[in-house]
Amino acid sequence: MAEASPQAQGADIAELIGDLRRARLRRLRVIAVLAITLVLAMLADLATGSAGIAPPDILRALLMQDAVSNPVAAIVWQLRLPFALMAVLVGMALSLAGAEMQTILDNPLASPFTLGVSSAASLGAGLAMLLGTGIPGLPMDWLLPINTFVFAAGSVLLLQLVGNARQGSPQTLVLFGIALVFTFNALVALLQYLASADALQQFVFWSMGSLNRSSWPKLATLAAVIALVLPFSLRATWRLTLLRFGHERARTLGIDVNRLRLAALLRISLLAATAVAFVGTIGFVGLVGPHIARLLVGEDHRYFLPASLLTGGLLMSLAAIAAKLVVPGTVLPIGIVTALVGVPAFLWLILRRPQA
Amino acid sequence: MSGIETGLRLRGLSLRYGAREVLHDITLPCLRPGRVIALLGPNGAGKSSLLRSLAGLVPAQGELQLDGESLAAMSPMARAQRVGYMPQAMPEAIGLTVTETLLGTLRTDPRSAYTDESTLLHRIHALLARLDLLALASRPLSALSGGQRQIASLAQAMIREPRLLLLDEPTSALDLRHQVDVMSLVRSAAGDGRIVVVVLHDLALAARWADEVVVLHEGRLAACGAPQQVITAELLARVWRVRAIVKAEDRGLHIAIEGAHEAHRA
Repeated sequence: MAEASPQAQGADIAELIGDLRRARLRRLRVIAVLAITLVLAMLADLATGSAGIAPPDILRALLMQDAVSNPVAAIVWQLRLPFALMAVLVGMALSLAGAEMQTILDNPLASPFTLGVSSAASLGAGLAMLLGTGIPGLPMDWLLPINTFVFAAGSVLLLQLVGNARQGSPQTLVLFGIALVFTFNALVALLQYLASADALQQFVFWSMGSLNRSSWPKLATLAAVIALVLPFSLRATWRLTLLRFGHERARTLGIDVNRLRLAALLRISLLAATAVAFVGTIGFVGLVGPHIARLLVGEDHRYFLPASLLTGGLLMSLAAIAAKLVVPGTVLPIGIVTALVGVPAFLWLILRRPQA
Repeated sequence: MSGIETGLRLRGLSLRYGAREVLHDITLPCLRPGRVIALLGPNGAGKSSLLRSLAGLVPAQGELQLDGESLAAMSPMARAQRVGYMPQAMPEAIGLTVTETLLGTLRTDPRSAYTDESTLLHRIHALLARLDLLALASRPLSALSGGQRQIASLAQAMIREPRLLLLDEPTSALDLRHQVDVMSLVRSAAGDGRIVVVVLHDLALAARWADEVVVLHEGRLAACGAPQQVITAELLARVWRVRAIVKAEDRGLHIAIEGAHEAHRA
């Protein structure tokens, strides 16, 4: 290790700062491109549909908002816009939840559904739909989402209890989560076995995931949940980043790993449970959204979390368009289409840079 | 500093995992700043357990004081500011550059959470220059070799300038040249008035670079002192159960292992 001359060191630090700045600019550019693509995808989503409305008419309807006298405005404001926004918000919620899940479990295969969240949600939905049981005094339109939410959020809290009681490592948590998945699935199967044919069909459609139940109050609820959770996620970005070095290392750096994990699990349960409650189980986005974001911006969570939010929204928006185009005249349940759209995008990214 | 003992004081340290006692009543003479202390012993002797107790990863019984302050009584963050810990290995697939890693380590420390970035980058730059890691500063950790990643890991343990630096087998996966590089960096880290405790398997390496060695055997203190005095053929037979010839040399020891020790052969 030769002593560097002061002059050489001066040049070096400029280089260090320059490199960091360039990397940052590049990431901000990626995030900006993602955001713009997302807006374009949403507009394309608005312009796609069986009614065959020309894009200029849609723009005009968006600006006018006079739904009573104008049928185009009615379609745009009551059907297409809520569906398009719901797709984006659900994608954002699931992808952000997946990104945090992958970090706190130290497992790239984790998604909001890994630990039984979706199975618990299915059980909640199943109870509401197949048996009509739930919290008394709620209108049926909200019984389903609220029942779903309670079960999904409950499963995450159960996990946290186990994790704390047994000083659980990420592996313990994953194994317990898998046990939950099988338990809930068995209970759901039992419900299905006992249910009437009508109720069963309704339930199967629900479990495929669909935007059909979108409405403005539900959109507002989901948007509020994301807006509530996001600042806390962003506040934790440095700590989450250091968690990548392993839980022990993070602890020796003074990070309260248990608290960080509990907070993240609460955020994940809010995001995933709300999304599932409104549109049913939609897998894949929560798994792949964060992977795409990671390939694009790396694992500094200050960029990784916002990028995950956008990739999730974008994937779901593209899936919403595809759902209308695959079988002309029919809108497929979006849960079926997400994987069909996401897999090629995912493969392209992986194969494009083998060294990453 | 009158009245306050500087250095690391370790008295009556015991650690149990359930019914199994892994450390039994370990008391060491005060470990002074500026010294490199090698922690030696066969597998399962309790070396890593002792290091992990010092790092606060496992709750040990007994007295642990750093510069007169009890480590157990400190908040996790206060402890993390004084004690730097380098685990055996850093995960391989982390999508962060060396600079980002160090920046994140500083940003999660309340003392430098809001310091302006260029000040922090100057600190990072100085450390990287010292560890000869500047050329790799902007590379992702996932693109580094094993040896380079160990040095990056050492940088992460050092960047907050801890008083006590704990290194768990920093050389285990490294070739000879990288072993020498890492150990001379460890030596120079102690030169700043730090206490460095390093777990090593290689006795010759310990004899060459450490000021003191602490030998553990079955959870107990077996020997402690200057390497030349402590590491003897008798100790190797008693603790490691090997026959060896140990010769003192100018810089360190020459150790030739002949075979398993007869008296302890199964």
